[in-house]
Amino acid sequence: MALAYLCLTTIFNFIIVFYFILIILFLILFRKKLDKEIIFRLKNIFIGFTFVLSLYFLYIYNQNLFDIWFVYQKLPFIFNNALENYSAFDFIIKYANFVFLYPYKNFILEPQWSLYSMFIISNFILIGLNIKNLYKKNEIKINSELLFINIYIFSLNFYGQVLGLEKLATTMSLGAISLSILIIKIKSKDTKIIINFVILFISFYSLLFTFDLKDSKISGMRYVHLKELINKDQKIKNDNFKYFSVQKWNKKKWDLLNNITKTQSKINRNCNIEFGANLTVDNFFHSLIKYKKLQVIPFFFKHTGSILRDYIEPKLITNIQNEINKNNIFIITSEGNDKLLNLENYDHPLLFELDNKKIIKEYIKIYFPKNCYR
Amino acid sequence: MMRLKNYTILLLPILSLIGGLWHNQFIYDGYHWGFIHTNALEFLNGKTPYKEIFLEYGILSVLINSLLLIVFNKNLFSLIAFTCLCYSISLYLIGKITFKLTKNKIYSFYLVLVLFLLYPWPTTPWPNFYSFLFSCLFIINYLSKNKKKHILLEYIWH
Repeated sequence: MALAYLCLTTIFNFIIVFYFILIILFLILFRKKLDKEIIFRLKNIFIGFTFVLSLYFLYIYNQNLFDIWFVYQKLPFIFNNALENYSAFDFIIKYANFVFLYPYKNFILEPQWSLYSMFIISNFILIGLNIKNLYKKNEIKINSELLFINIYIFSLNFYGQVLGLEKLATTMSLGAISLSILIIKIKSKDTKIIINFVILFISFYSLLFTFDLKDSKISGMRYVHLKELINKDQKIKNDNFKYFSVQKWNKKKWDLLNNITKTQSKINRNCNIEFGANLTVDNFFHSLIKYKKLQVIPFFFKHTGSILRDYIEPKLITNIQNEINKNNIFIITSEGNDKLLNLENYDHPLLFELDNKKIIKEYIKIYFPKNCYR
Repeated sequence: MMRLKNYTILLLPILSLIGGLWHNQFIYDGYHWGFIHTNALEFLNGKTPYKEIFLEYGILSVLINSLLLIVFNKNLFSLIAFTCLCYSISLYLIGKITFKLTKNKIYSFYLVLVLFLLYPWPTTPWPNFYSFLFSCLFIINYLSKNKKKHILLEYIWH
């Protein structure tokens, strides 16, 4: 659990706090009824978690990173305030809508959500059943064992409520375990068959007819990444890039990456530039910049990006401008981000067309000091 | 009654891994993939987490990714391949957890099938796939009846 926390700290802050609060609450309520082995296991979980976290915080403290670490933990609130400004109640309503209404209203086009809704509801029902059985002192060991797993899955709702296919698939899909337990508990064979048929029907219907989730607002990257398979025969490998040697991309993409690399090589022959900056949303460009980087955030969002920058690196534009004034920085930009800078003393930028299907052509611009690119 | 062999539960996780490796070679996602890749590269370049690297999610995923880049010559594909491996192991573990709780092989296979049909394989090397694997490992470890594992902690408590 501690490792899951360290992989996704900003989100698991909510999950872990909620999980431990619920566990403490249940331990207080059912202390006398719970099996000693279960209490022992919960103690182990707590010790293991505290131990790993202590090492982590020792590192944070030792490197004097606590202040900046704390800013990162506020990111979910910062994003919420800037983009949606939901209150806790709004979040509950939005999630309740996703669980109880949205999947069934949009069943024809987006049947996937109805299964996730079933997983979430099953987990909730199983928590209720386990609590009831604990009160009645039925099957105490099994119920308490299950209860603490269900509570963990329930806590994962904090991430599930962000919605998006990838998020649900890595959180609420665990609720499927609860669903299978509930189905097995059903005594009537006919009811079991009907429920299993419904689940399989939805699963295959989702796969065969609505897999791409083209019009869904919460399908994550499903449609975009499926589109990458169109014309896959025209996609090729390129051994010039050790980072991307396994990838098969179309020629235009490779040409763009080639141009970025070649431009830098050419500039290096004539000038001694120290820094590089990527003012586009493509982080591959950031990886390909051979110079020292001023940026902490490797990408640059035109509209909402300033929200992040104000907290993480408020002086970024000033720092880049200082280096421009010293003819000491190589810049890749797009979407008119160059307008944020005064590039009067720089050479005319090189323009490379971006490979997208938009009607109006888009370009990336590469800026460098005068007389560097001959 | 239909009987399933022990290895049947491995079929879908293996299919998930193969499908993921095949599909992901065609994906160009400069924002999502590039973000994860460049963070790990910057860590290998000696930059300080949080202060000089934008760790929007967590530090462990960057450590794992950096390790993968060291082993696989900084190749981007190693990150998505490992993500697919994590997801396929998670599918297998969900099957195991279901079997532990239901003692029914058909249901554990059936459940993995449903999850596979809903989300066959990852297409972004996102840290939530790592945390998903760790969550599954946590649950399976919690359900483990093997007391030997806890001997040291038992000694501390009693």
